[in-house]
Amino acid sequence: MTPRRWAIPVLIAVVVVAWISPPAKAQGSATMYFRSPVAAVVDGQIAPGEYSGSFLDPTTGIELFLVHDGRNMTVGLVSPGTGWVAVGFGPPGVLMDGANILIGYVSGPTTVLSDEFGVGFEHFADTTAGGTDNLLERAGTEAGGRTTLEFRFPLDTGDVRDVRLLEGQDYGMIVAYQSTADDLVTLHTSAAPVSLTVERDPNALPTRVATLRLGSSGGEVEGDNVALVATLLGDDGAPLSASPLSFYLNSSVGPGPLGTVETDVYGVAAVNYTFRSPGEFTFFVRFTGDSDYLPARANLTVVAQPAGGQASFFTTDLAIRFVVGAVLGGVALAYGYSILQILQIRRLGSRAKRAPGRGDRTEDGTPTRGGMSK
Amino acid sequence: MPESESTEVAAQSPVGAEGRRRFLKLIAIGGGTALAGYYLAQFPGVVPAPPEGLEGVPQRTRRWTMLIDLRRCDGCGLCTDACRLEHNVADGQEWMKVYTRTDNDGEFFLPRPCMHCENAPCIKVCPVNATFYNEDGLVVIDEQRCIGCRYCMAACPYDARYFNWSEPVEGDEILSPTRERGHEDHQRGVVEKCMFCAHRTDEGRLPACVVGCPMGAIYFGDANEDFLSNGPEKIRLSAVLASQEAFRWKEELGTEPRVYYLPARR
Amino acid sequence: MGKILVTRLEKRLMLPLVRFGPRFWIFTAALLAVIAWGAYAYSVQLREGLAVTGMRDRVSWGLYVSTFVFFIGISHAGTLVSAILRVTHAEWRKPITRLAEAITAFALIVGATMVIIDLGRPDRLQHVLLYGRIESPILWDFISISFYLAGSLLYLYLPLIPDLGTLRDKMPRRARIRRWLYSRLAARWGDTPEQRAHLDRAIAVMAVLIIPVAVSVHTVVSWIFGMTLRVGWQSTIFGPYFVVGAIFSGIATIIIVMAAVRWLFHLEKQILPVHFRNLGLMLLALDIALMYFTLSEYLTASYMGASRDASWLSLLASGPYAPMFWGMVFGGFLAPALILGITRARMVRWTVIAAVLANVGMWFERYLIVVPSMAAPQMPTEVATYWPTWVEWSILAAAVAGFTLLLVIFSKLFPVVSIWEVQEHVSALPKTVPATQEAIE
Repeated sequence: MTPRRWAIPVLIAVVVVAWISPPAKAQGSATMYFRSPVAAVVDGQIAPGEYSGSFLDPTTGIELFLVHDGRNMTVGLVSPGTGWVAVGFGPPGVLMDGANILIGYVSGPTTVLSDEFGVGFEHFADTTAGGTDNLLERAGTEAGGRTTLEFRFPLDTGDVRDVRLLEGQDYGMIVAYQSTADDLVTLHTSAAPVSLTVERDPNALPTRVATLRLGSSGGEVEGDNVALVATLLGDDGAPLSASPLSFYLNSSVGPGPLGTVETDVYGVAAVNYTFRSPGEFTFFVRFTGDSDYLPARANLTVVAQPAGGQASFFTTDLAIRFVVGAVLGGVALAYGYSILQILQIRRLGSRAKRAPGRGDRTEDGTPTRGGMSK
Repeated sequence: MPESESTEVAAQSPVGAEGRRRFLKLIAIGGGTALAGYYLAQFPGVVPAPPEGLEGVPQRTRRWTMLIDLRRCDGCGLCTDACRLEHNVADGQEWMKVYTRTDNDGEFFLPRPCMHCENAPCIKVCPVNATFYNEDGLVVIDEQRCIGCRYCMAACPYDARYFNWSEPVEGDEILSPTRERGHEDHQRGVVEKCMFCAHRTDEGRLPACVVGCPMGAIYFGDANEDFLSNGPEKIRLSAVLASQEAFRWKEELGTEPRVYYLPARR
Repeated sequence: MGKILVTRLEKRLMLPLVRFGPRFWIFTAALLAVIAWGAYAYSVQLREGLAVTGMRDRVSWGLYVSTFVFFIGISHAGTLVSAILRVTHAEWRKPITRLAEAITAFALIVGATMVIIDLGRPDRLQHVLLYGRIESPILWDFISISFYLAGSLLYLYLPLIPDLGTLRDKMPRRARIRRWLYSRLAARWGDTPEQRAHLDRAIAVMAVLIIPVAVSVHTVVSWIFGMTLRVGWQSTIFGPYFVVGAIFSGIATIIIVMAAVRWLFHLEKQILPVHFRNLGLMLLALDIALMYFTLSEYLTASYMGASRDASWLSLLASGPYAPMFWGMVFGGFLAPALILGITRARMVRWTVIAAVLANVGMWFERYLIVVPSMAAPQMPTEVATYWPTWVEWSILAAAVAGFTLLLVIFSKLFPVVSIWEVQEHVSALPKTVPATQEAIE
């Protein structure tokens, strides 16, 4: 019993600490700074001033240096080990699956860095799946038990396995390292997800205002399919085509993405949605903006009516209840009948008692055979 | 017995017997009507249209659903601890329980909350309606109503229900800062279980186990909206069910559980 | 002061009502002691909660529910046997019908008490009445057992009325309270033909009605298990299986109580070897039927070796419940069948032994239905264990003692053999024994 009593407060304390400090997946946000022209030199060494800032991930201890010039990103990683280091880019909350992974190690004079992609909890080189290794420059050094890797990589490679990074957007990163293994396969020593924001070019802030409208067409009844139609127009009233619009539903667990569609020549993009319940649904569409236009957003609330149809009154349920009730009522009536007979016996007995010659004993003690004459 | 007496007795009987028979008939009819009325009153079909919200806007029909990605689950058990903290769960009870399973490819872990079955066996067998569907379709327990017969526990195929065999211990106020809602009124002699943190979803928050999972393995949301979330990620349930080999536990029993699993190895 | 005259039959059957020997007091004191101990055990359970039992979240039903099913099973004894025998005009039934009917009523009362003891919140029992859900098998149970209890009390009372008349007339003057009781209960019975007509009508109706009610009772008790999805419980034959087992244990109980009463009250002339023989042969027939059902149940479940049933079956066949299971099959089913088959139930002693084995076997059969299905794992985890604690054993002992005590009290208040029916029977026999009159003090 005693060890258990110790364990509970310790466990509660541990859990509370883990509870109060936000869980690993929401620990801090790194920024990819805009710097043009880029000052960082890909030589495996990180000198002061090369990058505009850094981010130290508390879980893994990896320090991240991220900078971009609108076309390429330059990334520096410093890990507390001598084995491999990796960083993966993907949508927010990404772990490994679907991430664009850049993994490498320094072994003596050799630096190996590979452009890979993640499937489940494994990773494969882009080249093995018909893609290309899009790393522009790579370099690395190892000193004092720490590994430093630097590389340059396009923001948009056109390779479907590489996540396109847009200015002003939020992404997710996964960082990991191995303390000793100089390969690309040994299980990590530590890994953690990190949030990433890509900084916009402060000198190229858009100023123009676009008009974004969201409407619906289609049924507004539970079970119906509705088309959410968004129209994007420039400040001159002309439609903006080939602009990605992201549609969302304001769900009870947060904004749920319905899809990102590029506007057509008329500036129109649409997605479908099926109502699975009556009630109020709020949708919104977002234009993340481009080099000219500011971001825009539009909302729409649709009320879906119930599909109707009342439960029929005469169902088997009612029939069964009726039959059961009738049977039980019948049994109760039969019991009542028997009780009635008892009451009849009583009544007959009280009448018979008034007539003489029956009963237990006569006054003078003459014995009679009472009760059971036949 | 003298002839005259018996006829006298017989002659005097009609009125009394008649009155008695009438009286008994009345009782039978009255009782029968009462019985019929009692049964009919329990009939769910005799209910007016679903309640509306403010200004006549129809209310949402919720289908709270959970999806657990077994690849991400590493059996750490922090979901169990988060749930225990949120609800001050009694010792020996694990409303969210992590099982270890071994198949051909090795070991994997299976977290099991209450399945909140759409065809729940526990609701069917409760004699006093202490467990029932709330308006969001969750299987909930009225602890004031429960008589502790434990039939629901015998009926549940997932071992998801727990009984307070002894007096539940009061939680320490200081150590659980999030415990403003959730269970504070555990009673001895009644049944309890996971409630999909209905008190949190009412406020737009995710259940404790979802938030407490460091790997983000548990997704939760309204299947009628088609979006589930584990916090940072949002997934489209219909897309996941169509493209991945999602399964439910003990599908063949027909309980229609509301927890989907993505297999551990794909 | 006139002397009350009784026949020899009446004297023999009324003797226990007036003579309270040391055997009675000692036996009753012992029963009360056991019941008091059981009450103490229950008070501990009320104070500490059901944690004092061996039940836990996996095996959440145990000894209490098994004993409930067992006693409800016994309750099929009387009314079923006596009703069926009445309907088929089997005259030999007459000396034993009252015992059988009393067993029924008391077994129902004790069985219902076991369920209440099993509840976590017995203070909320009224919820079943106020908020009862007709869709729940427990409600079916509640309704069915209520109707059966009411019916069996009626069916016990109705043939008691003529004897109550006799008691009212012939009990010694000093038994003032009891004479008052008998006279209130006797419904002014005067043995007139009109009264006989009403009595016969009522008994005829009840005899026919009580049979389907009794069958429904153990059927719905079986459906508490049968309507779930558990391995070992979800069986389509549970209804008839339980009813057959109930009649089996009911007849065994009648045999045992009959033997006890016969020995205690010197009723060798009223309860004859032919009664033991007939009931013994009925016991044998039902034993064969029960073995048939048992074979059907377990063979069907095990034949294809389905993985779903594997764990539960192995618990019974070779696991921790194997000794109990095979003991039940050989000792509780096969041994009585062999004994009754070989002796052809002609030897009272062996018939009683067979009945005792059968009843003990049936208690284990109920236990083996309830517990192993809950111990077998439903989720990927290990087999659960359950052992009843002293609280549960004490309450079981108190239940048996309570049932016995009710019978003892009954036997001291009412004649255990129906005087008027036996007298009719005797006087209907070709060789009539002259009714000698003796005085009773």
